Amino acid sequence: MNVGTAHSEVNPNTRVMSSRGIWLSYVLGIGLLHVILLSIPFVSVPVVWTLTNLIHNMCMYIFLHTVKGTPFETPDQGKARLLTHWEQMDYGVQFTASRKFLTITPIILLPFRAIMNNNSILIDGRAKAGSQLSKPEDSGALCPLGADQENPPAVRGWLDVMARLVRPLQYSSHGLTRWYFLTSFYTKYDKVHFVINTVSLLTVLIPKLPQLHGVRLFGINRY
Amino acid sequence: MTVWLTDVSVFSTEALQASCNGVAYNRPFIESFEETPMLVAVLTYMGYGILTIFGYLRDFLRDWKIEKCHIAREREEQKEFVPLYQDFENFYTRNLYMRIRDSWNRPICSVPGPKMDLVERVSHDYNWTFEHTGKVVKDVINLGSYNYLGFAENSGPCAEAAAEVTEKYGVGVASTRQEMGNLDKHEELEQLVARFLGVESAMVFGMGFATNSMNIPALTGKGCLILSDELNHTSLVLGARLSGSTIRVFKHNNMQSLEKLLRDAIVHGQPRTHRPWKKILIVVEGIYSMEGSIVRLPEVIALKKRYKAYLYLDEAHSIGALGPRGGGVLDYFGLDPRDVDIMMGTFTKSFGAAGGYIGGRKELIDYLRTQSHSAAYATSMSPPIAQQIIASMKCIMGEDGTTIGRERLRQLAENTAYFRRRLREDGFIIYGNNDSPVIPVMLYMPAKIGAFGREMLKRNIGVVVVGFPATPIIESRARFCVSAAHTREMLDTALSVLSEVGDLLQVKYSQHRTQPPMYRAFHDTSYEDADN
Repeated sequence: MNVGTAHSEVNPNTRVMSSRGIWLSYVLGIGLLHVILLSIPFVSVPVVWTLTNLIHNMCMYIFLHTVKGTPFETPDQGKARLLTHWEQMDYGVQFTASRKFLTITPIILLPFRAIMNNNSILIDGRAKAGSQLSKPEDSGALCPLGADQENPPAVRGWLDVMARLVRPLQYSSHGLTRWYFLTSFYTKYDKVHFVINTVSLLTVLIPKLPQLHGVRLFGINRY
Repeated sequence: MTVWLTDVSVFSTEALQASCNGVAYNRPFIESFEETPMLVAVLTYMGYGILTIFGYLRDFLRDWKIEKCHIAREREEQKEFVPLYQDFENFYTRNLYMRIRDSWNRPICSVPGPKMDLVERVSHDYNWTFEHTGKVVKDVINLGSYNYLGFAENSGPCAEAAAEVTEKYGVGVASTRQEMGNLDKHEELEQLVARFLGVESAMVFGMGFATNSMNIPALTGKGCLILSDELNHTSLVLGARLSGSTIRVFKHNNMQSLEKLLRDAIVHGQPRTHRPWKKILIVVEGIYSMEGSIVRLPEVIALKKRYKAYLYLDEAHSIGALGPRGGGVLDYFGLDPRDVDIMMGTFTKSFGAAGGYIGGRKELIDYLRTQSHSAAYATSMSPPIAQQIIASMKCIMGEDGTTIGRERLRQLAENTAYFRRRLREDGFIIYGNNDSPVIPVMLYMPAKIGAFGREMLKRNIGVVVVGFPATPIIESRARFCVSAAHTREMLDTALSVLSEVGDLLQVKYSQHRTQPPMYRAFHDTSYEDADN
């Protein structure tokens, strides 16, 4: 819509996620969602956390990876018409600040949720001895990105931090386990939660990989 | 809560001769673009988010035929075809723009002077269609027209001269400049324009937009580089794109960004072959109409000379409006017109006419007379308009024997300074240079755009409001254009109404309501105002 615009930016959509205040608004939005869900009666806290995670990931998937094009006309002759908002961000340049931020937020939400779920379950007092795992690298379940991660130091760093935060709790309940993902296999209830949340996280993280820029699997969402 | 003045560039009077980038400014260059307050930014995004959700809801209702659909749709049997009416690209228009559409395209039924008459419109289906009630809203104070020197009038020497010429020549020209459309009025006008600007020769065109978009392709081509400011007008962008040159954009009025681009261009040459560029053309505007900022021309000229690039200066809003003699931004800074290779401007804003001109060296203008698309294919300027420009330009230069021109220039400068000072004191966030007659007042939130336009019209003031995507997403604004024809009473009325509407809509966002501390003698109480 260069017609009527006062700047020479071809696609204003590319700059939205790096504008002033949008990251704060995003975080506040997640907080608001969580508070709304918390105010529903008869729903326990771990379920609320899982719901927050699910709804956030679903909305992120819809708005960033499903909706294509721009809500206004652009003078780029339709180059952005087949691109999702994620692909349009910063004109396709990878690893910009906004992209990193939007990748890390769902990952942080997952351990938060995991901690919160574990906390509330630990408070219920279900103790069980767990087996010790040999190395953290074998635990593919909690590194959802696999070997070639786009931000290996950052992701692993966060996981480490979370693990260290939870360790005292683990030791308090049973001394043998070392990694917090084990606690999520504690009870059947929690295992289910964890699987759901990880699957949801994967749906949001995989489209963000630079290798999947512009890729449409099985022709879904191509036109 | 102490507040720092952000993004204010001030050169105090003592530091003038000491310069910026080795370049001396002969007057203080005070621009301010106060940053959006964080709370306001968050609320703006929330506003757009809510509007988007409601937009989706309304689309859903329209799809399921619960709500009546006013926009064009494909026929039932063509639903499987490639879509003709791009649904999603229309989202913003039908869900946001349509709701506040009554702030734009208002029909004016008088001369757009300091006061105007508007046709009263009413809409019964939420702005999808308008009906004229038959009444006219009279004497609306006009704060939106580009009428800087007040020459948009239907009486007075300029208008009478134009009427006489209409009787002699008629209105239409019926030909292009190169064929039969070259009148003696055009020759007279071109010589006058060249004299006014201080250049060797000038050429006039019938349309200001076409002056840019049709002449830049004649000047540069493939293998040339155009360095264009971020916020250049669409006509410059279109001309640059039509030319086929490589375009690189530098940050708005940012000389470090421009210098970096120049150095990179000269060092690396063309993209793959690394051959030297045939030409480097820097395209800037005198006053940027959406920001109200003035270009840092002394520095641009210094850069251009150092790196041997060419300079194209678009003085659409600054010619006649800046400078002690009305000579535009060159006059304002006291620079030599020979430093600027191509001086372009329009007659729409300060001369009360239509059309544009390009001034420069004789060889350049002779080249444009043959090579410009506008000269070869577009109808030339209409004779009464040419006469209007001749009369108003003579008036500004003082050659008609009166001091009206000088009076108007002085009045414009006074009005600008007064209006800006009062708005800043009231607490609005204003962008731009202290001397620019274009004054954007920030509104930020989408709903306030519509509310502001309507509330001002209710109180008989016509303003121009702009929102996303014409501006960045969190920088919607109302833009005022001060005119020399506005009297002090009109401005005072406008300011009191603005203050009232500002309080009603809570758009007085500025977090520093006093003058910058540099201008006040220091005493113990001088920092008290800065803390809210």
